[in-house]
Amino acid sequence: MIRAVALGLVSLVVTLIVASVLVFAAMQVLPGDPAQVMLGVNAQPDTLAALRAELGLDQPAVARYLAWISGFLAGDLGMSHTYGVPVAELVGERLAVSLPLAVLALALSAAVGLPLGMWAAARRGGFVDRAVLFFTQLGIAVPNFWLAMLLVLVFAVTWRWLPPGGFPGWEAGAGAGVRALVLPAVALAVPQGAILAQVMRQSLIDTLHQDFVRTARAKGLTRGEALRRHALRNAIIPVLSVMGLQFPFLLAGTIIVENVFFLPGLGRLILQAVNQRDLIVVQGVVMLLVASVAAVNFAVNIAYALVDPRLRRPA
Amino acid sequence: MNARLAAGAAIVGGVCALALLALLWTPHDPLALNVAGRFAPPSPAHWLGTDQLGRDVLSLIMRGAAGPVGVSLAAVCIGLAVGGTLGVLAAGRGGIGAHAALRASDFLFAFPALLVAILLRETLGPGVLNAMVAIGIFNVPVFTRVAYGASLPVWRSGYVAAARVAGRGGAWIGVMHVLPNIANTLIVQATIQLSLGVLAEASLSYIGLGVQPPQPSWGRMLYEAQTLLAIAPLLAIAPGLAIVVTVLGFNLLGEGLRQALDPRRATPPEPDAETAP
Repeated sequence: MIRAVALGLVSLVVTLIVASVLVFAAMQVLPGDPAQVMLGVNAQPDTLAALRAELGLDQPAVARYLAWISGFLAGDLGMSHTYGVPVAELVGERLAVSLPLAVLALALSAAVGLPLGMWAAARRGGFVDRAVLFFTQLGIAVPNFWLAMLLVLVFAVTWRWLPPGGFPGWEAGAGAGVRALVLPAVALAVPQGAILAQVMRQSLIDTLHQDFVRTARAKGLTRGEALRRHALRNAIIPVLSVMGLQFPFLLAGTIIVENVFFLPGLGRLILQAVNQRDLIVVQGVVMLLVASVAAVNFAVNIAYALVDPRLRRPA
Repeated sequence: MNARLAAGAAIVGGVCALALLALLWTPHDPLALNVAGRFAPPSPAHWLGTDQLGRDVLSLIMRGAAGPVGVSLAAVCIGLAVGGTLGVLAAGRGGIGAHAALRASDFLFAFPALLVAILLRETLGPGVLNAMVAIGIFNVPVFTRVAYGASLPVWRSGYVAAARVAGRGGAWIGVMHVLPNIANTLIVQATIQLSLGVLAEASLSYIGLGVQPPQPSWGRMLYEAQTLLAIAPLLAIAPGLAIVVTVLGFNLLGEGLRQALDPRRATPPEPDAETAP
């Protein structure tokens, strides 16, 4: 177990180091000089040189990488030149929208997808099963940003139940904030929930054929009892791992869906920064997102080893 | 031929045929503007009406099919070429090198296609090539894992040992013995990645990182329709349905192929009489 954690930790650290080098390198090969972008094309050469020195752009790439990464580890992501505030501050503000949105979407998808998957597996081949299979197929095929637009069309434009976009800020009260996040969360949750339902169904069906379930039935448990007490615990393992694998999709979905609803989250920040060539913001946010994916993968591997003793042995 | 395979093949074949047809012929010129005739409702002349610039929506959708289909195909080729080779080689060689290759491809899991597209935007420019590479990179670790897992038992089989004894080299065995045995698994996975690729291409086009205007694309049509949602909902519904149908087609094709080609992975029959239909 300790060996598995240590190996996972080493690979996490290596992943983060290589990822940071790649992200930094991708930003370096870009045409265009941030100092030039900040001052405009008519800047005097000496002002340009002064700003380059101030930003540290006259340093060699290795020195700039080390300065960036040590700042990153200390929580200093640099200054955004379009917003004129520290990137860390920007990220903090935006996280207050993106994180609740992602959590709400994940909770919704699990709350709907997992029971649906269990129900379908328990009634395999019946009407419920076929309905769940049909709707999950559809749910997986729907692009989340299109679903978002349809939800706006129905619930905001036609029925006017919920706001079509924008975010009032948490100062306006938790109710108003959550109301603004409901439609985006549903748009994100539908494809995720559909995948979870399919995986849960398949995993439970596979488990129900195992010998220990047959034994449980043979010793007199009803079908429902055997399912609840023996099959479910084993069936949940693949579901956990799929939830981990789906995390990057949830992240990418959040970036897109925030743009449909004009939510001031990380996704909107990163796309605006890309368009405004605010590279220090792009660099910082991409690195943070990549780090979060790596961290989730690590956590899932550990959780896996905790649940399943067979995985603790080295491969 | 099972029902899913038939339905999936019909949809995918139809979409590909439309995409090819659109290169030669569309009902109207998809790029021709006609501001006087904008927001026309569906009619015999314009089956799906016209958009905010008076372009024929059906022609736009037909021409727009090339982007998602082409990009996801190219991305799958990238994934198969890099990931498939890596996976088969790693399974055949074993040892430190194989471990390093698998780790390196796992590492790509940390980079969602969207972030790669954002990072590569300035280098490759926003456009079709950027989308292909970004989605292709996302496909690499998937195919590495699948090819590794599928080819490992083949490399350990008796006939591979026999081929080695007969003096065949690793590359010859990989191509002649291993590849044919894992081809089915790779084909099924490729179909699934195609459906994910269509979705990813639509997302990238939607945020302006895919097909560039004036060339039409489904994602961009949705982006343009978003502000007109209250006036012309059909402009948002038609391209979205095109995406859903295409993705559904690839998914059905993938599942149908899995049932047809890989009976071992099909679920065992229900032994319990209680739920028998």
